[in-house]
Amino acid sequence: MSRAESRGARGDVEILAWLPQIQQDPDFPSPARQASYAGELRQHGIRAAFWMHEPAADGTVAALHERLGLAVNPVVPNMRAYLRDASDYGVVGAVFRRFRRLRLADQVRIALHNVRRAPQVLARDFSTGVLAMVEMELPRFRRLAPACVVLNASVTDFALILDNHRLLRDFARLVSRTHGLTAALGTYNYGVLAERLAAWGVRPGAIVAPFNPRGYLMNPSPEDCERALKESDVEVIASHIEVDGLIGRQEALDYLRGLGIHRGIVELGR
Amino acid sequence: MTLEKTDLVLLTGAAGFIGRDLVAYLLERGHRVTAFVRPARARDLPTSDRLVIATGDLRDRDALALALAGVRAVAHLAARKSDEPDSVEVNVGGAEALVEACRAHGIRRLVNVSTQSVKLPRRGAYGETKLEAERVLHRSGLDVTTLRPSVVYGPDVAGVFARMRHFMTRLPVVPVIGDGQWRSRPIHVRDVSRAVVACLENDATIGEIYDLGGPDEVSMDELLDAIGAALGVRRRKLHIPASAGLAAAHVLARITERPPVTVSNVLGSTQDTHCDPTRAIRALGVAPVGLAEGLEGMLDDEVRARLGGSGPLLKAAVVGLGKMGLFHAALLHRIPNVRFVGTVDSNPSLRDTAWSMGLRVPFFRSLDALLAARRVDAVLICTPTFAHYAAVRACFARGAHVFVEKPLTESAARSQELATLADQAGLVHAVGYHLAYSPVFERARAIVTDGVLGTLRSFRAAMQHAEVLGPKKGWMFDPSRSGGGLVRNTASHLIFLLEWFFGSPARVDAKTTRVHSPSIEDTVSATLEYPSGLVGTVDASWSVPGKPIMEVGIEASGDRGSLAVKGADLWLDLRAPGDGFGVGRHRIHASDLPQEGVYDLAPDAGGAAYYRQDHGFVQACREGHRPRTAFDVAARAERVIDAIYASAARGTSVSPA
Repeated sequence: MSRAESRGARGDVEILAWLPQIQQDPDFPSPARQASYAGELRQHGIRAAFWMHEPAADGTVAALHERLGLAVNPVVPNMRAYLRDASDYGVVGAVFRRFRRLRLADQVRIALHNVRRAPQVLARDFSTGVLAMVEMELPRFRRLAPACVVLNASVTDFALILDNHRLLRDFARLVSRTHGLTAALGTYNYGVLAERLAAWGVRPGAIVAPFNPRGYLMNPSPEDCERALKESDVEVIASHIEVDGLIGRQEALDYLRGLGIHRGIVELGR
Repeated sequence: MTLEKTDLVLLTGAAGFIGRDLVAYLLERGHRVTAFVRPARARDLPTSDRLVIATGDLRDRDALALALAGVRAVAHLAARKSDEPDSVEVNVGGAEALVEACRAHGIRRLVNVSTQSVKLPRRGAYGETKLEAERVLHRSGLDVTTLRPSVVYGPDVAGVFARMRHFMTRLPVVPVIGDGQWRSRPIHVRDVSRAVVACLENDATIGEIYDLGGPDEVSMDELLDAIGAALGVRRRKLHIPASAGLAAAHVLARITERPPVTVSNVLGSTQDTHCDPTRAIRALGVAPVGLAEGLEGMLDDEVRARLGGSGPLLKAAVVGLGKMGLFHAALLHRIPNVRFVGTVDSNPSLRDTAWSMGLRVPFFRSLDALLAARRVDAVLICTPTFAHYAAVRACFARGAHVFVEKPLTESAARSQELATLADQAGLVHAVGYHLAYSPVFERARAIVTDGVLGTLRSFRAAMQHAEVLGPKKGWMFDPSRSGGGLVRNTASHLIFLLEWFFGSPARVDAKTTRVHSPSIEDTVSATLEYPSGLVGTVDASWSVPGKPIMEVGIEASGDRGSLAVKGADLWLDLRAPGDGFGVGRHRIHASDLPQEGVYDLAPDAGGAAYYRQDHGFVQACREGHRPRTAFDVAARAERVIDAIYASAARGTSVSPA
């Protein structure tokens, strides 16, 4: 996704929504809460959102998509859910449980796609395992009109800290070549990631990272992040722009404009 | 000649493997350096006000003449090494051009870095052209010394050693041309740099040709095994007959411009040269480091190059490759002044998984095996709780500092025993209560202990998590192995914070309930009474749907005000001014507090606090101070945990023992 494509009609900052926290809202399944989410999305003209799949919020997210035409972009894999299952069923068991829940057609497609990677699967290769989980989560989003797939920041940052560029490169290839979508990397360490991606020659479609005037979660430092942004030609989709409500929307957007960032994410229902 | 600090030294091939190290070494010693490099390689060099970068090619006589202006001595390292078609032009013609340019500038002193390949009975293009270059230089009338190093190792990215290392880390079977018995004397790149400078400083070496090698003469198989031992891998070797290797190299030379193996490589690694560094050691006063020590130093240097820092590195290992073990192992890759030297897990299948993640360090099946094989300064124990006690004792017996994931043990008595043992041993010890490194909790504690709230009256502490939403299996749900349920294993975070904030309670009255787990508690409600009159309540559950992220909150009030901590926020409501705050309500957000220089592995799960915690432990080990989560503090918190269990079992309030 080029920077130009991501701009709003007025060359302004496009606002997107972050949904993973809605399942923490005790009232989220209620019709009143759903109406409030819809109102918030309409009010800000939000047409796209990011979501990490949790079965409990399936209905709410599907309703938002159907009523508002909201494109829902996956944040994958849901490592927290996976680790929860892994403690009960083991590492391999948790993967197979996910596989068994897929439709037969998706099972066949994923199995065929992974045949040539069988030795890595059997050797419990980490990158292969993560990409298999990504593939198993993507079918749930098919009906939600996604344009972009974000690699969960906890996975990106784990791969980054261990110099595992193969995982990041393979993720970008899988999403863009096999699924024809924009591959984005979520991170809380943008300053390090941008520099390492350039050194490795890995070029994702976008990076989702915190950018805000307080420098909150801009690691290793706001200055490093801003410098890395200037030197990188990979689009940044800014997250945490309002810093838990401490920054006003206008101030947040002005800051992004000043950096040449054209898309920012707000947390729905906060 | 005596090389003065003010003398300018020119290096050809300054951006190569040896060249980069020699530039760094000369700069470290205070010399002025002109680096003569091809334009594309200029960015590979450091910046320094004592370093001039001159771009050009040895065949470009004008560029060479320009670079030599003001130069007192030359170290000649530039060469074509891969049997390129222009090897003669660069290696021999370049030497001729260099001689001519030196003469034109009145420069007499030159140290030539050649190769053992010139001594081979049967030479390839590389050996042949380097031998011819030696002849050109030594017949020139200049004051020339030549060094012929054996295999040079160090933090290289592209040379012969780098290729060996790459094969060892990436391939399941390592191809070796010949029978693996070819012998060399590997020498660390820094020793080559030292030797070059020693030659420049010693006129007695003029006209001499020295073999340069390390103290260990090893076969190719032994060299690969030594690399494997340093990196923590064992690889089978596939010996390819020399004739087949040579034939393949000839074919590759015809079909590709940059063949992975050249004829010179094959000839150089199948014929012994009997490298004898005795004369060099005697004449130059350089005693090269042994292979094992040199490889260790190389890995240390790589950490320093990546993360900065200076002085000896703390050698740290992680025991237990579950979720927390992987977390800490990953963080150790980002913390300055520490080198991660090994992982331990009883499950051997985790070795390849950990390796595939990027944890490319030696793997051991047991802690004893690690401690026997490696010098380890600090161990991070992330095993199930029941294994902590023995592991900590084993580490202390070997003089290693210890970090243990929470809880320290299954009982306060055992934890106290370890705390006493730790202090007797004079070692650094810490428990993984990472919330004590969260800037928001850190600030809240300072407000409490500095008396900003006045005399404390009450607190409410709560923890909610969606971790156990049905019957679960595993050691944590077996009280004989975990020492308890929610209270010991998760709410211990909260209990530790309370101990750290308010000290030890005098009485505890608690109730626990089982929601999903047949053998352990899933919730707890407790009242804690303190000698000062402070009274607090604790409510915790790991069976709260809709809380995928653990939420921990503390509210405290005193006669001058109150505070509440939750998530990234600290709310302060003061009736009297204090700590720079006026009367009224104040919000302190995590973004108001110091946050620079961290690596965040997931802020929702306290990622930056984990970094600070591990960084703090490393610093404590290096500087010998006590971390805030030391064993004795943890043992006090675990006495409260024991009291909660005792009170819940008896149905009465109890005093922590």
